[in-house]
Order: sequence, then structure tokens, then C-alpha cells
Amino acid sequence: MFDQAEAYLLFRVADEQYALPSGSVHEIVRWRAAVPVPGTPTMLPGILVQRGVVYTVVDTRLLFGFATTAPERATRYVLFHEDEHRLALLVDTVLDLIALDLTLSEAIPATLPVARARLLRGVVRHTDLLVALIEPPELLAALYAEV
Amino acid sequence: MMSATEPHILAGNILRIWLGPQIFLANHTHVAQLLPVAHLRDMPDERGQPMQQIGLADLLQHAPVPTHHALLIATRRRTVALLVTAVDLWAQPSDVAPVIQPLPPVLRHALTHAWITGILIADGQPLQLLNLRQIAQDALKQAAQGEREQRGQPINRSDDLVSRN
Repeated sequence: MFDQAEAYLLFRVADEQYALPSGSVHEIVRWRAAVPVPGTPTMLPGILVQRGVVYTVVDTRLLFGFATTAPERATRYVLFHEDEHRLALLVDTVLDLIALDLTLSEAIPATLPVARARLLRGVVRHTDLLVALIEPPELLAALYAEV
Repeated sequence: MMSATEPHILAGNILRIWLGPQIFLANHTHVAQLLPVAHLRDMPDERGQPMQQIGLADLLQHAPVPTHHALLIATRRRTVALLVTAVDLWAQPSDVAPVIQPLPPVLRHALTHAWITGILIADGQPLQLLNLRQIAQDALKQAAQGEREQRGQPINRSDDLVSRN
């Protein structure tokens, strides 16, 4: 069972809202050009260093099954820590840090493409938004399956 | 022994290699000779054949770059010239150990070849350490395979470009 209320980072990819457990989020930084690593798929556009730590950049648009786009003013990296992994998740914008009441979570809509459904533990309504809850281990599993 | 998953100190001199504006690093001991590209003209290899010249940017699927210098890499079979934009000896601060960070796990998983062996952080920027010997060996295998295919000979799968981590 989920805790009744947990802190989540709310962000947008394409026209959808996603939430990551705040415990997995280390920092949010503005977009800057990543250093490309030869021979890697486009989903991993490069690496960057933040406070002496090397992060692998992940284009979440591609991972989630959307077309990639050029970075804009609102584009951010969500620096994500899970086990030994240090990822910089490229997202369209970061919206808020919120407490979500997970007792209100709903099943993943059957119409959601598999590319996104496999990452999620459910969806929950927050104000008037439908927010998809990302499960960090599933995010990693999906990433490894794609690259 | 160098570890792929633990930070380690890189001993010896380090070369700084430019492919256009991007800088890579390499162990100096991997390079038999460094020459301007113009000096390669008519230079034979050990078999008396023209030296095999390969653009490092092409191998790395990097954007095209101008090439002014050649790194001669001796492999078991023959010597290959890897063409790069520029190269120099990296004058690292004497009081700072060149600590090579292992590649992040997801990159180790994603890379087709074991051509990048680690990352060194300098002035807040990640510099990738290239394994030039492995790159040269794989490039020669690739070239030989291409020649066999052109001649219509069957491909020996053991010569395939398989050097995953």
C-alpha cells in the first residue's frame, strides 16, 4: 500500500504531467549542452557534470515515446539518483513539488501507450491535472530495455 | 590493473585530442608516433602497403571535423593512422591526480564498443578517455571485413566488431 501523502516532483513532458518521488530527485538544473558520448543512442544525448558528479542525460521525450524537441527556456534537467545510477532527466518543464494523496490513485488507463504505462505505478488527480506516477525502478528498467 | 567500474589514477602522460571543438583524452603509451597528416603521404606500413588512414571522427560517428594530425597506433597486425584535428600533451596540474571515473552503468550498457574507458573531470567538464589501441584494432577488422565483402568472400564471424564492455 502507498503512504497516504508523499512528496513528489511534478514535471511536464510533451502535454502530460508526471511525478517522481522527491527522494529520488537530487537537484533541478537549467538546460545546458551535454557532452556527447560517441556510439550511444539518441535517447542518451550525452553526459554532464554537476558538483563533481557525472550524470548521463536521458531524453525523456524519447523514452516516453514522444518525438524529441529542441530545448527551450523552460527545459530542465531533473538530476535523479537511484541505486548507483545518476541520471539527468531532460524534461520540458518542472512544475512544482507537491504532496500527492496516493489513496486517490487510479489504475493506469488502458489507452496509455506501453512506452509510458510500463514506467508508472498509477495515476492520481492533482487539482484539475491527471498526474502519472513514475516508479523509479521501472524507469530504469525501461531505459535499459531501450538502450 | 585498471577497473571499468571503480575510479582509478591514470599513470603516465595523457594526450589531449581534439575532434573539432570536442576534447578527448588518451594514454600516451597507445601512440607509437604523432605526425602532421601531410607527412603520411606515401608512408608505407609494415607490409609495404600505404598506411591505413582512418578519421577518428568517422569511427566515433562524430560530426565531420578537419584533420591535421595523425596518431600512429601499432596493432598486432599492422599500424593504423587515426586522423584527428589536433593533439597535445595534457599539462595537468602537478598536485592533482588524474582520477578516471568509470563510465556510468547505463552508458556501459549502451555502448557498442569498449572504446571509451572512463571519464576525467577537468574544470567541471567531462573528458572521455579513449582506448586508442582497441579503436585501431577494431578499425582494422572493420576495414578487412569490408575488403572481404567487396571480394565476395564469406565473413569470419570471429572477426566481427564485437568489443562490448
